[in-house]
Amino acid sequence: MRLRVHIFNLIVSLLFISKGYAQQDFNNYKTLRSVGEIPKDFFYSTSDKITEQIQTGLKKGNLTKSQEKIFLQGIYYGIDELLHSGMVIYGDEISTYVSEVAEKVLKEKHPDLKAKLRFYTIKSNESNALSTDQGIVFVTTGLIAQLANEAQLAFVLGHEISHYTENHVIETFEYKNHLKGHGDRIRQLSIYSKDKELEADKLGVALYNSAGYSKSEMLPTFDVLMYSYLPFDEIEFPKNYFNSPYIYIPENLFPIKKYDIKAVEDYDDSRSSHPNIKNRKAQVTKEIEKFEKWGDAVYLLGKDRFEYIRNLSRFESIRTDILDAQYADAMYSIFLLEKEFPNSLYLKRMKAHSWLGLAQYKNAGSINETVDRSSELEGEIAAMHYFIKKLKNEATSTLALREIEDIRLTMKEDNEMNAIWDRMIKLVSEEKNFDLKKYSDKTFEEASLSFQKSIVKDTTAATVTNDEKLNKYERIKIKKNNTDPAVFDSSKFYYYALTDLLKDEEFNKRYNAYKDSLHKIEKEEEEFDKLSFSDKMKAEKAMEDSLGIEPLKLLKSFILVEPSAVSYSKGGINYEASDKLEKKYGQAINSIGKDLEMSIYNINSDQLEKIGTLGFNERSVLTCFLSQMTHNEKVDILPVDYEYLREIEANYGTSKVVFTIIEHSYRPRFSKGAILLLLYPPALFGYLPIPFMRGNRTELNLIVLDSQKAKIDNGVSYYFREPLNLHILKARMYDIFQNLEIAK
Amino acid sequence: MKLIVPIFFLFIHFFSLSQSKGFFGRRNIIEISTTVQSPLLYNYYSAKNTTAYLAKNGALENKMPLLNYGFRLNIGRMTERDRGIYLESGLNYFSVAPNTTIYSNAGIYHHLKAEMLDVRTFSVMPKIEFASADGLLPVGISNQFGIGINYYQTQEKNYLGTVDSLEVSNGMTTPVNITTSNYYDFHTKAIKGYTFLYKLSMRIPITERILFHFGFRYTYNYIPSLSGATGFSHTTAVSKTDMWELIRHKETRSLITFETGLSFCF
Repeated sequence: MRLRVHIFNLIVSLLFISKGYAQQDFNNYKTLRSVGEIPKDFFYSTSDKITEQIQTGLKKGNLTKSQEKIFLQGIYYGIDELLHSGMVIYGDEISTYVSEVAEKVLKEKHPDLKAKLRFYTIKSNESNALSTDQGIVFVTTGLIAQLANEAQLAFVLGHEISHYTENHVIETFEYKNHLKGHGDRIRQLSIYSKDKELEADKLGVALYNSAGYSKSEMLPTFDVLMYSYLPFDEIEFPKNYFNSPYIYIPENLFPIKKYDIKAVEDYDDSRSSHPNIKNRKAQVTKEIEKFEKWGDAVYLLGKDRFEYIRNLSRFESIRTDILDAQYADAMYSIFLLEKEFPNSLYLKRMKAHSWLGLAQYKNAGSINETVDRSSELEGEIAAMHYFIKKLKNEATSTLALREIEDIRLTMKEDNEMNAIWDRMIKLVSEEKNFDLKKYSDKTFEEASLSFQKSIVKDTTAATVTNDEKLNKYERIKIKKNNTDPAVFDSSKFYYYALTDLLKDEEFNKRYNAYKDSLHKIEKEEEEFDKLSFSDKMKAEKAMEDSLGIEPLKLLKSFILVEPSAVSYSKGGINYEASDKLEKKYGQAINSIGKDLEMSIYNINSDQLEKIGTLGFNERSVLTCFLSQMTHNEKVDILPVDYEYLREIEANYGTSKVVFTIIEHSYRPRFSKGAILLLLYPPALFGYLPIPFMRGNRTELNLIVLDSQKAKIDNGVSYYFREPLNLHILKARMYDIFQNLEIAK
Repeated sequence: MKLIVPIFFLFIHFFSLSQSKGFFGRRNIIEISTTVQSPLLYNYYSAKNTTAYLAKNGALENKMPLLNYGFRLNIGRMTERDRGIYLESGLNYFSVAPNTTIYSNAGIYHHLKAEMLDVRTFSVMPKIEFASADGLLPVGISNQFGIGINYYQTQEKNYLGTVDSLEVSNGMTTPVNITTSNYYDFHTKAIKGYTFLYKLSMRIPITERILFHFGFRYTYNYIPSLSGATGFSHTTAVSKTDMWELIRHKETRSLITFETGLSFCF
């Protein structure tokens, strides 16, 4: 028996190794990457996919040729955009697990169908699953993080696969076309869509039943969907969570009341695509009764495996929150996971990222982008949002510095932590109200004890602290001067939080260096303001000249991520023209790069077949890097995939990453005033060429990111009116590359 | 990617590029163009179309030239990314129809058929060129402004002319047929005029050195004085002042001209 177990374990291990991944160590968690051979869905061009589909014909539907084209373009371009968004992964542990659960769901009723379906994971905190007409089933990490067991996943998959088998996507498209010109289209479409959802639920029940899962887990699946906007658990956030020997957080910063959870089952779904939970539950209850035989399995692949997969999703949810600057949500998820993984370095790093982000957003006056509004507060997580919102800028920065320092002390050699620490010091040095002189050399506890002693001493001596003897103006004076030993202001709790850092040589060195550099700039600006206009011009010229020689250099080597192009026509995006323009644009960049002896490393979706999964993963990380860096231009963010970016730098030998997009449209616009020209018709001949010649509109944006410094190095934004051909694109790129200066 | 990336860029504050000039770094340009203008409008509105004649096989034919044409040579330099200066010279060719009904002192009207008079204009013009702030001259759309000098010179050749009819003032008409192959008598000197130009131009590169260009020239041509006008002295039917007035009349109505050609950058 023991030998059998060993052999079984060995086989399982070999299976995992052959897939290219090993089980994650949550203490040293690394974000999930795609694994194995890159599927055709990811590297096959969209236009080729459409051409192939037109040749093979649609599975169902009675569409005209032009409708078929619109349908296929809408579907394929939309899905490909998602596939290349940097959020989708394949071959990873979650996708593999979902695929295996789907196999269980399909084995009785559609044993051959599994081979046609592909399962991919979307790194998103939206709880969702979707299937496409092409046979792709997406499941989000947000959904798996919320599920209670494998059976619930099986039901979701049964539902989604039923959408595919019943061709609901194309049917809905047909219905939409049929509705053109009818009155309340949204309402009618909603009714139709809800019918399809109920049908998928019904068929999903049958698939679920055939796999042998327990009927008891079906209705709770709807609860998962209903409450999925809340974190993956509802545990009270303790008011002393942030307290430490160095810091004490007053309880009045937390809400007194509890925030109710507002979701209800019977909401108004008259304009929704999905029926409300009450209706879905009612139908599924009826369907359950139709089946006599039910299995009792909650797990067919094992509870441990499910919980492991769910933890992967939950760890991913933290990264996603940080990418989206949802720091309060990330902190609450970290709080939930810390209980199970108290030694996780990953959680510590993510906590430090969250604190840094919070302090940066608070300092930039953008905190409302990262926390919920008062009216949105619900459940236990409300305490976290409330607390963060209530903290003042100075308190947030101090608390962030304190927390980051505490984490750093436990992992002093960690590069990522040191980078976060350094960025935090830079932030406080730039903060106007942050002044180390205000900070006490005593901890809150020491100060509080000292205060208690002084009270006792003063009372014994029967001195001035007797408030009754003072008049109004003396009291005001004492309060203003804060000299009364009885006035121990706990709202300034953060002034006692940096006692150790005040004495830390390295901290002081960095803080003072940043402060000096800031003072220098401020002084220069002050002096500049005092100059006369002509002197200002001279000074600017001198500065430009000196910059041109010393600290700037031209871009010589970079990673080019997916030069993107969008061509608009009258009806919106012209996909075919966009594809052509995109190719031409990429060609122009590379051709000019070659002429200028630049080293350009392309990471494009049309090269994915060649660069494979490694390139795909790098592309995803760089896309997320761009997303994070451009979330808020006032915030100097540190990328969440810090270590992964180091790997990419090592692979390519450059830290410069270029993203660019070009958008083009041709729309002659006639001035309304031109109608007056009818009074003298010959003048029309003079006017007419102008709108036609000026009809081209092109916007070119290019941004250079430095992954090592985690900052935007430079960028250009052009708006021009010439028609686009290869030479024009090349001329533009020549001009950009010859002049784009980046920091050394 | 197509939709996601534009959204990112909405949030980015971009830095401006340092100033660079020219097309692939080339700042000098030579342009050779041809200009084409349809005189239909001019003729329609000046009511001359009915009596304009062209010579064909030794006879006069009531017909309009459909196009006037010209040639231009420009030499320019881009001073900034969005600015340039040019010197333009060119030749323009057009025709004017003489007055066909001429009053004589004897109270007799001569109904004439006369071949249109060919005129050549030589012009010299300094120009400045502007593009939008994101322009990259000489590529793309640009606006040109210029003020120059035109020299009008009638073309010497044997013009055909006939007196078609002779009408007496009491209404009686006696047809006559007088044909001359040297209707106008030349020894004319060029007269000077001024030209004011706005040009909307588009240049599209076809190689890394050569650009195809086209555009519309909006001109106002002004001949201030005819006091120096000479010529036509032996023409009994057409006075020199009449002819130069016709040229002036024509030129002030030559508002729009299409131009196209090639630009060479170096």
